[in-house]
Amino acid sequence: MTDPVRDLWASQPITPLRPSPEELDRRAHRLDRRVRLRNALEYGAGAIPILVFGAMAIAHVEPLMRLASVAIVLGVIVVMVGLHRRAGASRAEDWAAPILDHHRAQLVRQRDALASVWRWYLAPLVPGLALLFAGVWRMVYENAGAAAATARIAPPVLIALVFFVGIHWLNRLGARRLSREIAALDRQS
Amino acid sequence: MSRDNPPNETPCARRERLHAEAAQTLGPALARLARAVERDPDRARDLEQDIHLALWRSLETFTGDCALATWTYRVAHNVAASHAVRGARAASLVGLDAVSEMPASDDPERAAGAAQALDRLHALIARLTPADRSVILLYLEGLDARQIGEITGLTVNHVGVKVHRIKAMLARQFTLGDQP
Repeated sequence: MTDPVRDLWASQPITPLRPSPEELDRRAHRLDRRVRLRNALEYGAGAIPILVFGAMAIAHVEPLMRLASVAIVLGVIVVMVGLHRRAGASRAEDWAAPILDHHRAQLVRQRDALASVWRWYLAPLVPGLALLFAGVWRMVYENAGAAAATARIAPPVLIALVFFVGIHWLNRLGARRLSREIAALDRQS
Repeated sequence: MSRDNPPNETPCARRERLHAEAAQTLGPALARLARAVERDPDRARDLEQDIHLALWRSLETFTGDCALATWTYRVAHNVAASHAVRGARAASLVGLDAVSEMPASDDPERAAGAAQALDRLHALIARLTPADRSVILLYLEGLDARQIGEITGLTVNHVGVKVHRIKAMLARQFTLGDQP
């Protein structure tokens, strides 16, 4: 028995692609180049704070500021390693897995990345920033007193707090949404 | 589709042979999948290219544990689903149940004609969740419940239920038998 909708589906006017092996190799190399360039840009962006705070760690006269710079450099390195690991996990995707397994694995990876943003993206920067704020407070305090020092660092501390808590909160929301999607998927299979 | 390696075949030659075989037999299905997931013709063409590229790369690790067709459909649908997720984060996707409850077209002129019917079918497919979209596309390609189960990872019984709903929904939404 023929199914008219299946017949209709099969009758679509299409011209399927038949890429040659050479063409596929060329596209594969082009894609690899793009990924390498994107990675280089990301690592380049990470190198900027490393260079700036690395120079500060060597040249600054205040020991606390030097310590803060070292902590920031280490924090940025931890973030970069985290980004690199997550990009590697994404590249290792099993495209030939059954569709539901593949979809679930993608959701789990995204959920885990979002849920752990605090641990691998925000927390490594906290000691360096805290030391930096402390260093600035101390420098202002020595010249203008506690009130002026506190007034000087209060706005950036507040901005950093809102920024960090906001990112954490948004990522937790995203992770919860993905958990619900995973649960719905598990009910299907 | 043959899975046997000719003697003295290099890994490169094997991959070329497998890809040529998959493109030959399933190329039209891959093109239809790309058009179902991506309505813009240029982007659909890009998606089709991406599917071929992912398939090409994946065939390096094809061991023949499953049929080449199953492997090809899995890669193609996984690439298409990832593309759809990137392109339509804001779209509200629904399951087969919700689509079944949508009113059938009450405009006979609009419903008439294969082109319009295809448009409506594409619009309906685009609204489905990735899993249901894959099931309906594989059903439309003529696969049976066992094959769809192997590709999607759903149990055969579950596929059977979904296919039953798909058939009922298509029968309600499309009255192609009335066409000349």
